[in-house]
Amino acid sequence: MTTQEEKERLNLLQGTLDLLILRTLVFGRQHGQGIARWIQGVSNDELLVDHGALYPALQRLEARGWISAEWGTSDNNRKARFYSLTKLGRKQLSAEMNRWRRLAVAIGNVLGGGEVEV
Amino acid sequence: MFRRLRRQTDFSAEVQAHIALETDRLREEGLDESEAQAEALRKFGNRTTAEERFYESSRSIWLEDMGKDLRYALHALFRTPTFAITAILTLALGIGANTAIFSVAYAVLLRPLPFPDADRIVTLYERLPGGMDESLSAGDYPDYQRQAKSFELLAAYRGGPVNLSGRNRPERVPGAVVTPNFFSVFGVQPELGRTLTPQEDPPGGVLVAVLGDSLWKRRYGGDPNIIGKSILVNGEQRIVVGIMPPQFQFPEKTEIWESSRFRVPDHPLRPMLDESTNRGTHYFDILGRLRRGVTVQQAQTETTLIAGRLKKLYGDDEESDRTHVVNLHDDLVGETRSPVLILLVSVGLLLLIACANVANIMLARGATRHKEVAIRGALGAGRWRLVRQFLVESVLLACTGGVAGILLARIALGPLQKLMPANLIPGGELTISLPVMLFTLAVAGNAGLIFGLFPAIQTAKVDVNDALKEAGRGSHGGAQATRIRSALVMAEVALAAVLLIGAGLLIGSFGRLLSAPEGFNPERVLTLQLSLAPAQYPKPEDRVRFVNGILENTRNLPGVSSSGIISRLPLLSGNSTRNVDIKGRTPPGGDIAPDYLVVSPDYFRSLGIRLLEGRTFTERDSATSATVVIVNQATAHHFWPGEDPVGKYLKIGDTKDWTPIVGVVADVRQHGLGETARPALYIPYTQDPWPFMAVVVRTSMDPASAASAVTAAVHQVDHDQPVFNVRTMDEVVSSSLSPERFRTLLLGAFAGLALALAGVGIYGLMAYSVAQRSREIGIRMALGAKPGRLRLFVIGQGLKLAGAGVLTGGLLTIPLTRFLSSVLYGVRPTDAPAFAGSFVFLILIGLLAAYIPARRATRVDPVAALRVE
Repeated sequence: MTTQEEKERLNLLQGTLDLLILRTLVFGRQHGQGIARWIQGVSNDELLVDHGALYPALQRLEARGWISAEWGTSDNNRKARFYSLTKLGRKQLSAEMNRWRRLAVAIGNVLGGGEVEV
Repeated sequence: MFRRLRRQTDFSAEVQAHIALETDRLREEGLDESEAQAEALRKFGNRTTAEERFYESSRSIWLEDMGKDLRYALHALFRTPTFAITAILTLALGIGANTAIFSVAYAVLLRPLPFPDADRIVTLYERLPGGMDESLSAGDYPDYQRQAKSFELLAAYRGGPVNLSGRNRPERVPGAVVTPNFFSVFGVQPELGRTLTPQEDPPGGVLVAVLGDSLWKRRYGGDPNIIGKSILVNGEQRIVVGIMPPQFQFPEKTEIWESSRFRVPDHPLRPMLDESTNRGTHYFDILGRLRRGVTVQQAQTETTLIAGRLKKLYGDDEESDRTHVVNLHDDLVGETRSPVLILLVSVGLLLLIACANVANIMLARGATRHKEVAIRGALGAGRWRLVRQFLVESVLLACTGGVAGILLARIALGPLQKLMPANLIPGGELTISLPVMLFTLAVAGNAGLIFGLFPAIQTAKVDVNDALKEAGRGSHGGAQATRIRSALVMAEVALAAVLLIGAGLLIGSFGRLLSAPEGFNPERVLTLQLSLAPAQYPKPEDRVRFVNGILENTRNLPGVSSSGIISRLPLLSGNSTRNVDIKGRTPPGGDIAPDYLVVSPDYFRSLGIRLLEGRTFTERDSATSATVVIVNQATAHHFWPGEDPVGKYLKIGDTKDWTPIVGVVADVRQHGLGETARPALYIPYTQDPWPFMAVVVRTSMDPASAASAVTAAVHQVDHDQPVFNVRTMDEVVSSSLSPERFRTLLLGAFAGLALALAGVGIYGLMAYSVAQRSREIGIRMALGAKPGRLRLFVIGQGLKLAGAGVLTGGLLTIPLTRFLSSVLYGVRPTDAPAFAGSFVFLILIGLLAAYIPARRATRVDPVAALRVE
């Protein structure tokens, strides 16, 4: 716990939170807290999701029809609102991922193939 | 537009659940309960803020965005005032014209009659074989009343002006003689006193009158004590029993209703006679109130059965065996429906043209807003959000245009009312009433959507990257947008062509009417009307003496060359006919009842009607001499084709004598300039002195200036005699054309506006495309293209648009013009000059509209044009 706090975490780039949420939901339905935890865990604690910003994002994605939501029960028997990916959301995810990869490659190229010592 | 909204309690519950889950998780990681909870809360951040954000993003966001959109739209319009003003003015013209015409249509066609359950009030006619409606006879009316079960009641009335004399200046007012149940048909209560009661019915009862509010206020100063007093109506005493409220003016602006002497309205020429057994003279009209649930059709079926029975029992061959029951409102609207609908459709087309124009300038403006759109898109505005933004702008424009349009319509209403044929509106004024306002609002809103939706979608369809890259330089729009704009302009020209052709047809028809031979010479003729009250002039000799007196007095006035009288002045409504017998022979064209007109010897000379054969009447044709008749050419042709009728004999109406024809006069358009002359018989007034007449005075000076002298000459004979409708014959001709003039002027005005709008549309598109292509033009010029060729190229583009529009319009018009045929005179709906004229007009406008941008194109400085990029 303490180690995490000392680390300088990466700030999420604007617009990437949506992408990460969509990606998380590929594995099945999940509630908000689970999504935040999963992102944090998979990124080796590099990415920390601001829980307060998470919900407006979920709200936005739901409004666009990319995810849908329903109330359910969590593993430890708590009531939670579960989100799952819609067909439209799946399409959107693949488009966004594509774009992201291209951007990453492009930025990598500009920065010099990623091999240069800084 | 409204999404199903998630409730805030649901969101709060979700946040609660999140914090609980996170707390569980932290506890698993080893924190104790209170630490875990504090950490979960901290990680979540400010809960209230999150909830607020949720609130914003759902509940009020639509309204709030709307407010933002409105502010933004206002701002955008203020930033481009030329655009805004052009659009608003164009729309104001279109919407204003629609509002004005709709207020006419509403007053004429839609406004319900001001009576309770007015849709149950019907008129009952007998139907003649030719499809004409006929009034009822005194003999038949009580039979209908007794036998027909479809009606709560059937009332009878005979409208006709009456002379009021007595304490004030004599006056002629519209009146009606009615049965006592007349007022019950309408269910309208008097504002003072009472209406008629059944006691007024039996023969010999006291004759009473009910006054209209306007007459009461005008002539009797609104004095409530007039009730119970006696007044002089047509020279006879009537006791005033009640005053009707201002909105009650049926029939046709009536101001006084009299009870009748017998059970039916008095006969106009024989008021003292009981006609109640007469089934041959049809002279009054019937109103009924349908029982609840009974349809007009059922009433007509029932009364037709009665008509059939009556014909079997009493009728002769000419008696009808059918009836025609028609809703009173429909009956009053009658023939005015189609001209008003034509105007309504025309003005609708005008609005469409205006919309196309505004859509076009919005598209052009949209093209210059790509950068703005791109930035807003990049900042996260969704496509729909942008479309909505632009729609808000266009609806705002439309509504502003609508308000300006209502103001324009208000201004136009005054002249419109003056121009309108006086009898067009069944009782009432032109106003911008609530229904008219609602109509305008709906029109404006829809117009905003019509002209706004497409440009909005088009403008919002911007690729963010492309737009930002080009950084707002001029060359957007693309081929598709240009095609669309060309199509819009073409449609505009086509619609304008429809209106122009329609106007051309009406103008052509009006010209024919004006140049149609009247058969008389209206120049320097003064006319006035008189109606002798039977009570004052009961005997034929009295009336002859009166007429002789006024003819002598007027003839001797300075500046008067001749003066005559006729029972019915040409071009005024109303008619009297008589059957004729030509020695047992049936004429080749079938039997026809000629018009029956009573005249004095100098009538023909005074109105300039040519004598073709024989002689006119003289002083020697008197009450005691042998009867004589003069016929018109139409009579001669119909009854004696190819023969000279002078010296032939006729039996006229019920007379027993054979009457010789002594002369033939030229045909007169007695029933309107658009009507072909009917056969007519002229009888010397001494041999049948009618109580009502028109005096016709030919002068050697301005006829209007003789008005007071002629009136005084009449009053010298009888100072209690109302003189009414004092007009020059030119005025009579002109007012007989007022329905035609009304629609011709209006449609002409709409067509003119349409022409101007179409011209502006072509100009706008060409100017825009020249501006867009200034680089291309610059290069061409740098490469040595001749300015003349470039000019021709631009003009050619404009002409192509105009030509395509004109052709489409022409094709569109052909099926439409048949709706016009009912109002055309002497012009076929496919009249070539109207079509050709409109085409030429539009092509010329196209030429002019393209010429200005074409000149500008050749003034492009190649160097500057190239540097722009």
